[in-house]
Amino acid sequence: MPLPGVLESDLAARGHIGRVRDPFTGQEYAAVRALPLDWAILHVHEADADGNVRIHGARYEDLLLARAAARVLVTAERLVDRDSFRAAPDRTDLPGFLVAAVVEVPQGARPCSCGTTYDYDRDYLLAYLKAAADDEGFREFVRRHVGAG
Amino acid sequence: MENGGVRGLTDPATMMVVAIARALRDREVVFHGLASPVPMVAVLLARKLHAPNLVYLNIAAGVDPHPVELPESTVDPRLSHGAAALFSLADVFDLAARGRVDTAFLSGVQVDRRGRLNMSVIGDYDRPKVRLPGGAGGAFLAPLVRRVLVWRTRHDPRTLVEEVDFATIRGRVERVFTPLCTFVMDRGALRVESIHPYSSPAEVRERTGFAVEVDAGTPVTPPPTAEELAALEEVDPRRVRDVEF
Repeated sequence: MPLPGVLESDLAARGHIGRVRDPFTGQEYAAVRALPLDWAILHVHEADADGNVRIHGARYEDLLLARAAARVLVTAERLVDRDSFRAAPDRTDLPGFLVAAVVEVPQGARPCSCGTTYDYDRDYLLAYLKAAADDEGFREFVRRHVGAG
Repeated sequence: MENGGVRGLTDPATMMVVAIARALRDREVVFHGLASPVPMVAVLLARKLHAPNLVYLNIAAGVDPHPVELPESTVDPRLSHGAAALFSLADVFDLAARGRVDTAFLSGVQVDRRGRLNMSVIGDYDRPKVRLPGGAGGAFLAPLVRRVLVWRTRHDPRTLVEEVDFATIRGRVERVFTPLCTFVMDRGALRVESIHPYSSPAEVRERTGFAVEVDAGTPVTPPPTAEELAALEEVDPRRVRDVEF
């Protein structure tokens, strides 16, 4: 959303922030270039085979991300029947037509949290921070935990 | 429980949350974002003591939550427990743009004499000595809210500087809270409003990177009262506030 005020920050002089004028009041606002996102990847609580999505609790920026990207990939704690969405369309957070792919991935947010369904894994994240302090440590961590490269 | 006064005198984390809580007003709309345990505790304390109708918004999105257990991370969904409504960050920014957020808590790696905050770089922006985490929206929010309360759990010359390397955030700073004292913005510059009881004018002068006018006449922050400490013990029994120190 265009906002006034940030033009006072040193960030405004760095080229990240553009200026637009309100055609009705003449007030100057800051504008930020839209992110050129190809994919938004969202982990959600429930989805159906059509890509309808339900998130429990706060949605944070998920719905904005879904609208900012060219395509959306959803990983879901569980796949549910289409009927559960038809019974309560007001509780659907993303309509399926916006979603390109759905994958059922229980525990898919780990080591991070998934709303109130499960908490973040503090020990794992601390171990990662320690390992990732240098390149070799990071590579070894990825080899061991992700199995890539 | 031991004599509240003695404990309050020697505990900067406690003194800071009490000093901040005292500055909050009933019925105002207050917001804090990420990594804000001290403001979280201070807001809950103020609500318990003298501001029962304060509107508490935060990045975890629950409006006026009643958390059972305070989380270390202020974006943790546990902080939303007991909320009757959710209000996203985008909603908060919109509300601020409409002039309806009274107080926002912001912080910065560097704070300067003119109340500007640096969250971007140490050194030159194009070839920095250190690239800092970034403004996290603070640059956008600060000029929109009625007042910004800054808190910093370090008080040293590298934190409180004459001039920030980069002014990420400029706008509406009213007070700066540190473990040693509270500053208030006065005609464009930070002035020491009160020194905490376990500190001294000499210590504040030595550990501030810009010139401050302090002497034996500078007010002393009243130590936490027994009532404040009892309320704080209920609000933050596990001392989550310590996580920032």
